[in-house]
Amino acid sequence: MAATRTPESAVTSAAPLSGRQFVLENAGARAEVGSLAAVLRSLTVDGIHLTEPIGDDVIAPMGCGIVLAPWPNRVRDALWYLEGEPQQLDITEPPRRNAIHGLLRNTAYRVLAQDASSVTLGALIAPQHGWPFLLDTSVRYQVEPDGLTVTHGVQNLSSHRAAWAVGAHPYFRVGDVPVERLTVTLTAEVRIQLDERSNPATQHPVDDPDAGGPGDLRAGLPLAGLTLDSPYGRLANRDGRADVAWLTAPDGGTTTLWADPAFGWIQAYTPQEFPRPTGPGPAVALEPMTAPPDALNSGTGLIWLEPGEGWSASWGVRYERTTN
Amino acid sequence: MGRALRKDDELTDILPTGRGVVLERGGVRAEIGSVAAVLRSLTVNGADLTLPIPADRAPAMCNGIILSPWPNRVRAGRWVLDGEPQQLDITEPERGGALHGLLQFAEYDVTEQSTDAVTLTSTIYPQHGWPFLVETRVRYGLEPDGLTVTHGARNLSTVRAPYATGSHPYLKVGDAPIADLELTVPASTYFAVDERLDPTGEVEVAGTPYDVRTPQRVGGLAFDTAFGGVQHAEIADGRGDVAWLTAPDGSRTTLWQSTEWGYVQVFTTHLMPSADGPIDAIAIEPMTAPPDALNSGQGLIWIEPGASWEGSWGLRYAGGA
Repeated sequence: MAATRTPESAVTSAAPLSGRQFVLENAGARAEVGSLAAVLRSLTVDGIHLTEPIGDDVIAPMGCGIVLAPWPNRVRDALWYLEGEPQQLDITEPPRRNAIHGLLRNTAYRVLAQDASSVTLGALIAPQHGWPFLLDTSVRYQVEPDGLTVTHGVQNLSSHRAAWAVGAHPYFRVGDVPVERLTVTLTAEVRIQLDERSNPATQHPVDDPDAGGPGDLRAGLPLAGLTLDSPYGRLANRDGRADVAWLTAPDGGTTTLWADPAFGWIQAYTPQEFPRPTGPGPAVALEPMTAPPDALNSGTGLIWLEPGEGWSASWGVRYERTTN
Repeated sequence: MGRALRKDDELTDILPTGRGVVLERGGVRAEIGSVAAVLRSLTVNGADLTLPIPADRAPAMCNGIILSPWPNRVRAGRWVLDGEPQQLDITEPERGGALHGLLQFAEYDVTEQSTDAVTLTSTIYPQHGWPFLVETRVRYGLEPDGLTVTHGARNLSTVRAPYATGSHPYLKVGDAPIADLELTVPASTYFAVDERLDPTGEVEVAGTPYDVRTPQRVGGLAFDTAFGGVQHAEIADGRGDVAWLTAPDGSRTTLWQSTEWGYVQVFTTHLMPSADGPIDAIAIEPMTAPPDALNSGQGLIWIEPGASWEGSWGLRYAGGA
């Protein structure tokens, strides 16, 4: 029992803290999924970890592997406007007074379909504080021989049109190679600067020398000493499904994030104190998102669904051993 | 990727209150929704015991929902567990607190069902300010003259967990105008509150406007008030009546609680939304603990690892003379 009680460390329990568990396999690839927030707990190809693995007995640390719906990242002041009417969401990030990562973080999804290599999980979003829409959402994890395809779906069951955005919060790995020895490449052409409450301030071309911070990752940069915490846009997938970001190890092994055009944004985040059984250390989240932070206010990337309308789109991850 | 409009005949029957369950027994009928295990409606021989929720609406003003793992407010969403501060999500931003637990918008699973009873369950996972794993359930069972609601909780954590629960029905007595009903609550104390509706102390009702031990006309009341010292008058089988509304024709809707439920909140409003505009309504909310119990400890149930808790309340209708 840890002395410090946080949602991430306080509880051990008789039942998995990430809900009902699923193991998916296809050839040498294997994924482990928990029903709570439809969390991706582990993904390996031939035993090589493509994501930060987390146990079934922890609450996803730093959002690791969870699904972010019906919005990823933050809504400033937890407040937005629908046709002029203020919508006050619950404040789920009290220190910064924002609403963060949607409404399904503490929800155990139900199983809609399952076979040896895939599982489809569903969760209903009922009308609630600041969210006057009824949405039937789903996530399908399909393990491929070289990785994983994740398909997010939604249907608007409201009698009026509904706003929608979605994302996921994977932290990537290239096997056992320490994160600080990896190179990160991001195909983004723009980056959004954040303010002190982590809400969007200004958007810049990644090569704008006055924008500050690490911007241009198109040619790849070593992760050692690099601190990332920004949304990136104008990715390589604007004209169709494409690779949008990748991590490369010194031995040439590469973990690649690909995405449909709907996933037009990536939040890059490099905490230095990611908790692991071996102790805290650097980690790198590359979060595919259909919209940038605070999209409910800016409208950028926001998807509007007519009554009865359904939507789906995919992203995925692939491992390649290349020679260099 | 793509978009598709489903045809009308493919649309599901999921409402803003979730998937529905209808219970019937003799002249008694209840409808339950899976979101927040909400009581959508309850009638005895066609007379409403509660304010029904329109099919196309979410519950207005928390109508009918289950409150778990705490009813009412936690001051500033903050409490302390073994010396460690716990920060809950702020679910009532205008007052800065955490209101009505963690399952207000959760879809429960139906785990048992018959023609006149249904059990719904929902597991509360560790989250901001709530480091416990608790499996909760609610059983609605029809009686010849009303409804019994049994709340249960099982602590799946390896540490003991605090628990409190409640429910938020708005009561009616058939079609009698709310303002003309007479309210009786045989409670000896009420909880004074500050401007954020957080409790400042438990006070004897005698000599205050909160003395409703003798019947008071609802039209003259402005309550958002928790009552303690609930008398459980005429306790039988571990339960007793704690509040009742009487119509001018003598018909009556009564709330009873098992002795685990020592508190009741009464909330009156003129602003309950309806198809015809704002209407009068009165919520009479059974609770196992008063407001801010996570801080005061009052009424808080501590469930040991692996152990369970259970308690009931219910509604009963009697027609006029």
